Amino acid sequence: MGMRKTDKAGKRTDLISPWRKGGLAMNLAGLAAAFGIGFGGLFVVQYRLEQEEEKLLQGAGSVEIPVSVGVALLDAEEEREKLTEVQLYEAVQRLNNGTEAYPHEPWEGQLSMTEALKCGVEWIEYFLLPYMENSDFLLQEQSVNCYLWTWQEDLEDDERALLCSYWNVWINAPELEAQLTLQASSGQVLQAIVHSSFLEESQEEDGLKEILADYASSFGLPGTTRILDGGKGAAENTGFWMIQSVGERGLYASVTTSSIVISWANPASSEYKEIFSMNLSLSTGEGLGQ
Amino acid sequence: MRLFTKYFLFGMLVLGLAFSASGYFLLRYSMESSLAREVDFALKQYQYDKFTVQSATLSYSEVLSGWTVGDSVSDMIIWKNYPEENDLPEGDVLSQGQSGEPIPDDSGEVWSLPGAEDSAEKPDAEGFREIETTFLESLFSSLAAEMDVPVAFYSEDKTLLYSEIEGLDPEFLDSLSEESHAYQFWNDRGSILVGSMLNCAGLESTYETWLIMKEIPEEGDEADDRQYEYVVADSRPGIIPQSGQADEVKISMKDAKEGAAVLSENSERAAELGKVYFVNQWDISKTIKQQGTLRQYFIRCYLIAMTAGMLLLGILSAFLTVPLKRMSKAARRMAEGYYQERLAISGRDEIGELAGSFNQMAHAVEEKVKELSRAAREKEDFVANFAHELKTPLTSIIGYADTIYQKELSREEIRKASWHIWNEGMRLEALSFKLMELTVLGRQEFPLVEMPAEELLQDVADGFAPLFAEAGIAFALQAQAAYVMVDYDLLKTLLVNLVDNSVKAGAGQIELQGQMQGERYGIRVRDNGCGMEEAELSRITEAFYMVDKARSRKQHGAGLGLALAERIAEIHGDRLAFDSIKGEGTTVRFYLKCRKGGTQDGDEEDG
Repeated sequence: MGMRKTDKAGKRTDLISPWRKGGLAMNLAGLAAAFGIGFGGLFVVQYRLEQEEEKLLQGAGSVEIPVSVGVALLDAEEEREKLTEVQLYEAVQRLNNGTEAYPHEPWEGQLSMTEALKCGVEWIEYFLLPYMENSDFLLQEQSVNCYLWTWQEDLEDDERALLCSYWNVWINAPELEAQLTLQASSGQVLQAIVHSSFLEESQEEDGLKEILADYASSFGLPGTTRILDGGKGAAENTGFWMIQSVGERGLYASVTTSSIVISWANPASSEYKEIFSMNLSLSTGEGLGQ
Repeated sequence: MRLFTKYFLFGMLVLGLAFSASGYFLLRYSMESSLAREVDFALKQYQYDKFTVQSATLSYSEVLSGWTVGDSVSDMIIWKNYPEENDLPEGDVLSQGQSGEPIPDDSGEVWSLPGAEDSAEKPDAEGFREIETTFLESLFSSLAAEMDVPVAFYSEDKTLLYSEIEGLDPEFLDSLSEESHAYQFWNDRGSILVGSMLNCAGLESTYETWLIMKEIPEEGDEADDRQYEYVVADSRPGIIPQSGQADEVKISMKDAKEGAAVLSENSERAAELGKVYFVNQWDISKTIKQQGTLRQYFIRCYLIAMTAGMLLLGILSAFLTVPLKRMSKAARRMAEGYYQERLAISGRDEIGELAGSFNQMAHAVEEKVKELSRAAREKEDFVANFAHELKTPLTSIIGYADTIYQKELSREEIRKASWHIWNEGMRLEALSFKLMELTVLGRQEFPLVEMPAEELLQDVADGFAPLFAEAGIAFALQAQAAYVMVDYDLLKTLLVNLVDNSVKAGAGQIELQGQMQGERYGIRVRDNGCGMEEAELSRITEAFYMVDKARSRKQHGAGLGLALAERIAEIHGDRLAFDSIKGEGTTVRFYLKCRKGGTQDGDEEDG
């Protein structure tokens, strides 16, 4: 019972605090519980997250891959079909228009690494070397590297991913360095960047025309294959550039050349070496002539 | 538990759950997606590295490339051990002068074997095995050098070939196969291990071991004892031993033969090295650290949000409970008797509705209390009215009784005076019941009965006769005969009150008139008393209102007569109308319902 007093009207009223009447201990316990719940949640979350992280970092998994075909070099003799003009256009258009490359094992219908290397080596041997004098020995010793990739965003469309998938092949040999980009199904060379001191003849305008025409016709597309534009670069170390139409749907083959001179560090020596570069590529015309 | 505490507790529970759950799911999603992204990166990196290894195995890298061999080394012996020619016939194994065609050398430097002259140890078969091991290591170390992440190579029987990954548990290799890229988080090292089994058949087809020897003049006469400087090299891709990496000691022809045999054996072993386990290690320590940083930020945000939420909850809880406290206080005040207590709480929410309901309840309680008070007052009024109404009949009774007592009266006069006494007594009895009904029970409807109006008026006049005679008041009665609907006792009380008021107003002449006016019977009481101000007319029917209090009290008035008269008039379907001029007198009128035509059998009689 609480203390009571009597008012003027003779009625009795409680004097005790409502807090005490409601149970001070209960209220304090309630407030403590509120703080406990409010701030205790933080520790629960931290604890749970640590557990989750621990669990995740114990995890493992695997990604199925197609088993690589035999890797013996030059063992693939299968003749690949060339892409149609529409396919080629799409493959070229996508080549420089992605955001994130996704390396992958060859899918069904695509060149194996062996085949890709063979294509690359043969392209150097049968397409490029004839334009390079005294270069028969260039491929006697070589090291290669290559990888197959497509754009991550193209993975959602199987057909597109198959078409817009590319082998990048690097061939390093004494006096020759080449970087080729091959369409992964047909092995057609969409881009080639070649550096060599034996590319001197290809720096001439006539020789360059011949190379470009040869490159344009290598895609086997119908239509005119005339030189659209060309000239000599403005900078001192730049050579010629030429553009030629390929097929009838707006594909263009282009070539640009340049060179640099390397002199030895010894000032007493007057020897120097000139390295020539050539960039052959097939494009849809974006950025050409700039 | 106080409502404030309950609100606060509930709010904190909701806030805590909301912040915790959202933070947990957000951070968990972030962690999962970050690690998934890291796995994706690791798998991509692995694929790139795998391409590099596979490319290397397919390469026809000649071992001599990069060596500097001068033209002066005309006596260099080059022995090639092709895998398919393990059993090389003696004599063809080593041949002198096969290196007659000098290897192209652009720099013009002369090939030399640095440190060869300082070495006293001759390699035996074991030494050659070590050489082979060195080459295998060279193979994979040169591959590893091309990669951006630590890698490890194991043979198919899980023998370590080369490793840059410290502490790698070979059990991981159990999960590897050719058909998939397996990954495993390595929490201790903050990294992801990715691996698979690679088919390095290219090693088999391209493997060549080269033993390159240079004769040292004037050392040894016999062919087998002749001393040579030598270098063992490997044609496998990527193996380009640098000067000084190969074993550089003198060797005799005999030892060279033995060495050739060992190399041949090793080449077979290398040929069997068709498949290797290839593992790389992708560092995710930055991501794990970022997740830790994210969690730290979460803790800060959580604490800030909870503190702010706690303050807001306190304010909100107070906001919700303050009106209730005010209601509680108001209820207590009402309990103390302050029935006019009301809550000034606006708003259309539940609290507002509750406040409205409280105010309604308070209003109802107040009304009830007023009603009870009124009932109590009415009881008091009854007593007062009854006392008041007793006076006039008693005056009449006393007057007649005094007359009988003091005067010599005839039998007829005594009978008449006795009748008046009896009549007033009976009226008092009836009046007491009706007054009770009227004032205490609040009865509004009394059964009205038809009676001659002139008779009623005459009864009133007769009742006052002794008083008029004593006070010398000239009384005039004019009553047109008519049948009116009345409650005799009540209406007589009304008229008695009106006449009594005229007497109290000091009137010398009082006129009571009854007359048919259209369909109704009008009754008028007119006097030439003191009269009243016009402002007082509206209040004279209020109970206990006295125009001249001193005079009224002197005359034993209570201010109840006209209040009662007004109620009786209302019972008869009309209200009292007063006309008064101060100092000249007062006229009171009211109307009664009467039978249609107002007369019985068409008779009219003047009183």
